[in-house]
Amino acid sequence: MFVQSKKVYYTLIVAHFSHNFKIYKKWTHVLIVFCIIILPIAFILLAGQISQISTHALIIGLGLSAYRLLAAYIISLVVGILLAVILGHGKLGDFFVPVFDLFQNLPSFALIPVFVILFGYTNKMAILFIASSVLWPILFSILSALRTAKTDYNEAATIFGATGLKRILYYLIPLSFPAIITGSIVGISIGWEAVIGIEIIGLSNGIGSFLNTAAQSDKQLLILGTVTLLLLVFSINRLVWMPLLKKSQLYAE
Amino acid sequence: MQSDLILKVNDLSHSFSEENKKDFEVLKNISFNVKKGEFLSVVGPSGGGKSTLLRIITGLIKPTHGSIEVNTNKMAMVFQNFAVFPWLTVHDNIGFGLKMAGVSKKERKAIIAEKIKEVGLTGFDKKYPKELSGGMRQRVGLARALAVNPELLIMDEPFSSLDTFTAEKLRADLLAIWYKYKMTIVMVTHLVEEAIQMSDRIIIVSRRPASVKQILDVNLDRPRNNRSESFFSLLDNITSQIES
Repeated sequence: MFVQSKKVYYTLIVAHFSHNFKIYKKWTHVLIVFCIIILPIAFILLAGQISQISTHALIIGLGLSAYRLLAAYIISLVVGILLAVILGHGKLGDFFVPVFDLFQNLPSFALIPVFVILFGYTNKMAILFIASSVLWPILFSILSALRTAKTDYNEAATIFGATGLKRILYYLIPLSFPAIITGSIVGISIGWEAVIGIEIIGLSNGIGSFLNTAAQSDKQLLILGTVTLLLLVFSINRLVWMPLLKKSQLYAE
Repeated sequence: MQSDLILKVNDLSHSFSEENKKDFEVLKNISFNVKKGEFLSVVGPSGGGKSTLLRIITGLIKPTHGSIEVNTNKMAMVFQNFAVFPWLTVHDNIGFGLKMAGVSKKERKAIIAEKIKEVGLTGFDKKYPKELSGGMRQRVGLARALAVNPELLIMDEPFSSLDTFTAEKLRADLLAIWYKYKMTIVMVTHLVEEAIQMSDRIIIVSRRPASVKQILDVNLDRPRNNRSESFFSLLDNITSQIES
């Protein structure tokens, strides 16, 4: 029985999220993913071809940075949603929100030495450091959505049987979907700062490190790297976040 | 509890306590019974604690004194401001309670289709609440409640946020549904006419803290003529009691 219900929940989770992403028709979805990867790389290769500079390191660096940010974002998203839905409402929330606020106010760059002591100069350190900055806007955005939700909705969810895990999946998460999107938009932009920061300060690879080195040696590479980064950030914003933001407006009454 | 009763309210009192403030009494010594299949209305001045009474009956609020006995586990509620979920389509809103109860998708679909027809939402199943008028949204709220096949339907000022014409139409539709299923309905309203038009019994409650002033039977033939002499004399009687 337990195993069966677990399986059911799993399929329910998948069904739930696929529902939210229906804004992308199958082919546009593929196209979007394609554009995000292809566009910046094509630009690099073309520019590299014209200016006769080696762009191999730039592509690797950009990929590595994007990977770090993506990993950190996924961690932040999961942790943010869990913290908000489990600790963020009612009496528990009255206690935990000030605690979260305290941690949020710690300057994240001040934590770099701690992360380095714990994990060394590794990828893991970078990802966790980035997550420690991305988490807060996502968490606080969801918290404010949950805490200002209409009592009516809470009551209707309760009366119609949304309790426990079902309440989280079918009520709290859809309720905070617009907040998850706006929180993610802010979180990702802070995340880029953290990626570049940690790569300049503490690592010898990634786009931050690449730009830092290029600034000291090859100004052409610096310009190429900066423009490519902007192009990537811009395409992600246009192709991922804007459609989701538009979808989330439907949720508002 | 007697088998013909579905709800028993025993000497119920409730106060809200706020920090640094005196307790704030909203209900005082309320007792009444509800028979299976009856349409009961609770009328009284606005802001008098009637909604709190409903929230105690549904178990959303624990009363500070007294008790509630409910003889069913099939309860549903219709809200004053609809409370339909903006992120779900009409179809999914209506099916929400069924989905939570673990009803299979196929079964759900059949029930939803039936309810959509019953409340007059045919053709709107793919729409989101944002795209609907107030009256249509309340139809969704009603269908969501009916979908779980409730034995006890709780309604909190269901027609108060609607314009007169829409409300009139929806009242007629609700009565037709009630004749068909004969579930028990407990409705709170501040509109005396509405209470007389629809209910078998009316409980008149006082201004805050709400206590029972009188419980009276409405012995008028259905369908009721709201322009008849007996209708008006009842209306005057109740109105004067509320105002006194």
